[in-house]
Amino acid sequence: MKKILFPFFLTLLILLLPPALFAGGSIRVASTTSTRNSGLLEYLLPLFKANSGIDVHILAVGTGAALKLGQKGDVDAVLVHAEDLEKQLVDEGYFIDRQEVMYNDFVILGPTDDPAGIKNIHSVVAAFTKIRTLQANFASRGDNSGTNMRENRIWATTGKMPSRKDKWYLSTGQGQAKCIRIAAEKRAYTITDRGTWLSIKDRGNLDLAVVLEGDPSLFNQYGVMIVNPAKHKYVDYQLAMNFVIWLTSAEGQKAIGEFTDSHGNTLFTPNAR
Amino acid sequence: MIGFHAKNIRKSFGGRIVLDLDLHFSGTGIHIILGSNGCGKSTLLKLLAGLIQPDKGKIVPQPGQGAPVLVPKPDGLFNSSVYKNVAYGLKIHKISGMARSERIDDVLQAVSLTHLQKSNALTLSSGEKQRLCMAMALAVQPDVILLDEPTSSLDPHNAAQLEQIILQMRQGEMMVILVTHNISQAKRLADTVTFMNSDTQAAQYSSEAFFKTFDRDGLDGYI
Amino acid sequence: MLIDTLSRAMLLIVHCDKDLLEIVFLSLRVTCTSIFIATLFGLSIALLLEILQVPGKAIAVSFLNTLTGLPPVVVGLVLYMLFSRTGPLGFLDLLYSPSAMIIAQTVLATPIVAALSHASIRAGGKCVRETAMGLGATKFQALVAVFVDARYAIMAAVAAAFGRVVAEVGAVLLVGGNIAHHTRVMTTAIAMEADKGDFELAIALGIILLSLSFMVNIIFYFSQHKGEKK
Repeated sequence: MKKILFPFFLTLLILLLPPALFAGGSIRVASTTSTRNSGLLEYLLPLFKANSGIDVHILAVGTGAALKLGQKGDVDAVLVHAEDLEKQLVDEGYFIDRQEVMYNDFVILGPTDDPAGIKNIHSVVAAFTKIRTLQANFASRGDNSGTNMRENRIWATTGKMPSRKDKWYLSTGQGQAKCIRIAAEKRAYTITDRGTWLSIKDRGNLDLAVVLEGDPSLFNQYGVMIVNPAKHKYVDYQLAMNFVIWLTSAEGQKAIGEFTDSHGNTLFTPNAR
Repeated sequence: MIGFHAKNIRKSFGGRIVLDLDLHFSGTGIHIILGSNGCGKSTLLKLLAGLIQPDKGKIVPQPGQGAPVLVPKPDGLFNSSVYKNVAYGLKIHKISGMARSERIDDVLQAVSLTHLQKSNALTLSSGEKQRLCMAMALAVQPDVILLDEPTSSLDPHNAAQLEQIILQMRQGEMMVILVTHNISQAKRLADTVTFMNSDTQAAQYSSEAFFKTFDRDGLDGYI
Repeated sequence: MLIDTLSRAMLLIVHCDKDLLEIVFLSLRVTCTSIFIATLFGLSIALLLEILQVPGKAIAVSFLNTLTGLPPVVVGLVLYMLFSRTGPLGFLDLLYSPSAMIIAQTVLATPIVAALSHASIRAGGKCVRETAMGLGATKFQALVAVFVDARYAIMAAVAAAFGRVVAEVGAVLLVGGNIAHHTRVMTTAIAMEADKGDFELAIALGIILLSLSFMVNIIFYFSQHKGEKK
């Protein structure tokens, strides 16, 4: 009996042991689904690895979830686009060494025939107010993502948040691409990052178009920051710092600016200082 | 001389005393344990086989005697070929190679199952299954062979075929202990009779003595 | 448009798209490893249930049968909380690794192997054991005979467990994190690609997953068939 048990447990140990022991170093970075879906990370990370030998494991979740992961110390760094919240968490001591990396923008989509007449409005706050007044359908991410947070900030500026009783307000709880599709089906307005819209607009006969863009409130800044090692001792500060340095370096910034999606669109503008 | 002394055996199940006896079995030949259903005869057989232990007392075999073999029941056959079923006992007793294959062939022939040796044991008819069970036990060539109501589920033709095989074992210098409730079968096969009534007691007789006594008094009243 | 997507999906399969293969191999590695471990543990449990004669046995068997229906996402959640850096087992650094996924799938598969094996062992075990011991086998040899006799039922149990875990997404998503080139398996990839609206890869993976399930089910069917008595 004992002759079987020992090799059995040895095999078990070998099978289960994290291969992190054998790698050239790796870090875990939490980012957002829209960032992952844009394809930027699949493009950048091999370049970073060639430069530093470091593997970056990306956990793509909602912005809120990504920041929570950082606060809990389950990742080494985060790359999100929620500027106010990021700065707040740095002040609270959860993160350090925050750097601005790149930006893109949000756009408001609506049915091509624009039933609520948003196209000629330039202020997004005015547009949202009109949507609410007319009770036009609006599809929200409803998932605590960066886009969702931006949407909520705009609603807050209109003076009133949508409530559960508002039947025109559809809280989908879904990712960006799905949410856009739902908006198309329900002839609803919605807010999205430009990158996701560019990547799916030519597919599947979506009856949607950009109805509003360019408002400064729709500017979307991406920031990277390291989980505070003083709070979580497992954080690999050195390797994470390598990542931050590279992203903000001339080489990293150039790569970000050169990245295009499959349709040839440039999705991000590098703006590290 | 081959034999057992079932010495001062006491066995209970769930608070009820099933056996309370002291018996001797000796000599080659066919020893019948006869009794009605529920009188404990299967329990006695299992005790002799060593499958269960008595609460009190001991089963004492004659010194130097080989372990008894209990003929399997048809519902306990293995889900593989007839050949492999017979081979099992030999595997347990570490008989292999030529000796093994020869014994299997001989024993399959003795029970007329050679033509079915590759068939799956579970696909056999009840008569064939019972013969296979006999073959499995005989292959081991035991000193003592134990049978528990081997013909109870067989039609008269198959039962007769099986009894012929059992009678042949008498010539093979084996001790056969067979449990049954069938008086006529007992009459046909017995050298000795151990008669168990429902009072957990047992009395032992030679065959002639038993049938002379009980023919007179009428067995039907007892069984 | 559906045909178009389907044909592009088939092309991905035929040309052995690199990403596709990576995902499929990881899925197989994770599931096969966990089924291997689950079979060892599951059969041991079935064995213990067979030889232990304690009063609480009926309750234990009922409990085991309940465990076969564990919702994968709940298992994922519990393990996530255990393996998180802030959790009690955080020091093992298991979260978001293939090892965590293997553990999750093992937890799901073991009760299935144990319960299904035990059921068929219990059905025929007593008779087979008596046959073996009557012929002179030791208790241990008789136990081996019981397991060998139940081999087809055991194969069916293992196939059932495999089919269940290879198709689940809740547990591996929560403890694995669907990290590209690291913990992305067929089910998590399908969910993600469909969410992104990229259906080719999702459908290609779906076809492979279905084929795999189909093959395993064929094995399951034939094992059951051979194991049927009378």
